[in-house]
This record gives sequence, structure tokens and C-alpha cells, in this order.
Amino acid sequence: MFLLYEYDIFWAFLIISSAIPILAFLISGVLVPIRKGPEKLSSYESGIEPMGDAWLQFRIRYYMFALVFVVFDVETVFLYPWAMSFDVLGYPYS
Amino acid sequence: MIIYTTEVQDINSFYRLESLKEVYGIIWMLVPILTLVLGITIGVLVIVWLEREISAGIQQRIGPEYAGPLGILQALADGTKLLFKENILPSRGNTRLFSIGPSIAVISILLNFAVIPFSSRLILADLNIGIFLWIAISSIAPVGLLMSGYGSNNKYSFLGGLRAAAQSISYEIPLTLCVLSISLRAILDIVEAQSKYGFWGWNLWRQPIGFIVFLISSLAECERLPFDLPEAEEELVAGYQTEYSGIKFGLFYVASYLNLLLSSLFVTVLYLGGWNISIPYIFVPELFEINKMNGIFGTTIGIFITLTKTYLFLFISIATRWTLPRLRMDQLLNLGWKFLLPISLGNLLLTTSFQLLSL
Repeated sequence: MFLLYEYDIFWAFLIISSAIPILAFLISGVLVPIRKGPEKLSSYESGIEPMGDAWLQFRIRYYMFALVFVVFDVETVFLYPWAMSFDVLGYPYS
Repeated sequence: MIIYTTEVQDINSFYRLESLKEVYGIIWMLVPILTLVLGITIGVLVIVWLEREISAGIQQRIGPEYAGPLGILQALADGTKLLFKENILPSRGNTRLFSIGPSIAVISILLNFAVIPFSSRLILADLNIGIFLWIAISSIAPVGLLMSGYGSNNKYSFLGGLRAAAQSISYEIPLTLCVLSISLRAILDIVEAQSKYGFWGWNLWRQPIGFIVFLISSLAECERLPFDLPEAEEELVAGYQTEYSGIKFGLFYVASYLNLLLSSLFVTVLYLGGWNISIPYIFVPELFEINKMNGIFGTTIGIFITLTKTYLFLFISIATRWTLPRLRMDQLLNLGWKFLLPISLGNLLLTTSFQLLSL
């Protein structure tokens, strides 16, 4: 990872851009008033008392979407080298 | 004794030269990065102001007018207000995930700006696989959304986070396939290949289907209307952003506009000819040489042209947000998987066949 010199500026950019949220949290931690209250800590459910647990059963289709996304993403990754060398590979009978 | 002293002096001066070179190397890297970050920040401020003004114009009212002349500093005022708001952590929520979620969303979108060419030879990181890096890093953003949805101890946030992540990943595949179709035919750089015939050389005309699919997919990736469901106010309160307050909410807000700026810049580079002037050379043959874009003047013109085309696309997407109604979640996912994905695959096939026929 350290032998690819063109990525040096990329790592530096990563470090600086991860400093941006940290800086935001630090400034906010200094400037923010803290007034704790029991109502503030409860979860929001349109004004009523929250009913039941927050870890509810979610529909299985969200897992299916992630699975199919992984399949198609891997297929796209396999398509990229083919697309890059397409003009070299060409058609087998020409 | 004298030789010893001069040797020590030599070593000292060599060491100082070496450390100066190190410092020079670090400064040489830091200055472009900080310039880019400053440029991005100003760009986001301009977009927020543009959105308020355009939405005001569409709704026939006056936009912001009190913060600075013509309301230009409104975005800055909003950001400063959010810095002063209390940072409420939900009880029994996962504090670490709650804080890291918006940070990951912002960082992963900010990283993508490193591979955009603003003018010829004006890229932060001139990688061979630049565009692929964008596709790869933009896949990290849904992780941040899932973290923030799960970490707030709220049913609605959880569902909103799942929905937002499902929407994000569903529209990434058509995006990737459209980019693939473009990189199929460009032997040179993508922007240079569009510079030959001026206005008519744009990839927009060569791949109209790809352009429309890219447009729709990038609007869905940015969670802008008509794909606004993760932050729909009537549906899930505010989706995964429900429990957020203060600067963490500000980070989500900024991430949304950063994503929009990024998508607009990519549309410009991929489809609208990048930094070339794009006036057809039939009229004025001398202008064609400006496409070489050397020197400071040429580079500045290149940046100016890129930003003009970017803001054209931004205007279109902001006007779309305030014009079209919202799609339902199952309609949204249907559109992504059952409509855009086959069309982008067909676009790839079409591009391939045209390449073969012309070879």
C-alpha cells in the first residue's frame, strides 16, 4: 500500500477529510449548552410514549436487496476489465 | 579536530536540507488538498443558497434576504446555528455508531472529490482507475446510513435507515453500468474524447439512454426528490435522521449537498464535455485551439467552464426537486431493479455492438 506513490495524496486527503467531522464535534462540544432532562432522552414516536422495543422485526426483503446488490456488483467488477480491453479483444471472427 | 568539525557541519547542513525537502513535500501535498476542501465548502454554500432562491422562485415567494446581501450567508448562518444546538444522545442507543454514522457518510462522499478533473491536469489524484474509485467509495455511504439508523434507539430510524440503504444500493448498479458504457468507448481520457466536435462531441449525444439512466440514478443516490423517501417528513418523521440534533444533523445536511455537487460534477465530466468550451468548430476555427488549455489562463477558463456546466445540472436537479411528487418505496425499488438495471445492461450491449460495427 505504501509503494503506490500516486495514492499518497489520496491518503492525505482521507486524513484531512476525517479531521473535518472530528473538528465539528470538538467545536460543538465546547460551544454547546448541556441541560439534561428525562424527556430529552426518550425516543421520538410522534409525541406518544414509545411502544415496544426498537429492535423490531424488519422485512426480509432488505436482506434480499443487499444480496442481489452484492451479486450484481461482483458482476460489474468482472465486467470492468473486459470493457477496458474491449478494443483489443474485439470480435472472434474478424 | 578541524576535519571532525567540518564533517559535523556537513552532516548538519545535509540533515537540514533533507528535512526541508520533507517539509516541502508535505506542504506540496497539503496546499492542493486544502484548496480543494475550501472550494468544496464554498460550492456547498452556493448550492444551499441556490436551492433556497430557486425554490422561492418556483413557489413565487422571496428567498432568504436577511443574512448578508441577497441572503448569501444564509447557509453559513444555518451551519453556525447547528453548531450551537445541544447534542442529544438517545438513551440506550449505541453511542459510538450514533456518532460514527454521519461521519462516515460525510467522509466517504468527500473522498470522491479527489478524482474529479476540474480542468486539464487539475486533478487531486491522477489515478488510472479514477472513475472506478468513485464507484467503489460511494458504496461506503449506505454503511453510514445503516449505522445511524440502528444506533438511534428508534423504530422509525431503524426502518428509515434500512430503506435509505436499500435505495442507495439499488441505484448504484445502473450508475456503475452507465459509467462502464462510457469507459468502454473512450480510449483516451473521457473528457478529451469529447472535445473533437465541440458541442456535438458530447457523450450526451453518443449515449442518450445512458445519460437519462445516469441522471435518474444519481438523483436517487443523493436522495433528492422524487426519491426523497428516507427523509420524507410525513412518512417516517425524518427517517434515519430523526434522533439527530446539532452538528450531527448538520453533517447529514452537508453530506446530502456534497453528494449532489459530486454527482453534478460527474455528469459534467462524463456526459457534458468536462472543461472544453464545446462551441462547434465550424463557426470559429481559432477557438478550437483553446481546447488545448495550457497555462494559468487556460486552466482558469477550464475551471470556469466545468463549474458552469455543473451548475446547469444543479439547476435542473433543484428544479426537479420542487416540481415532481415523491415516489413510494416499492415504486422506487421497482424502478431501480426492474427498469433501470435492464435498460443500462441493454445500453452496454448497444454500445458494444456499435463499437464492433465501427471497428
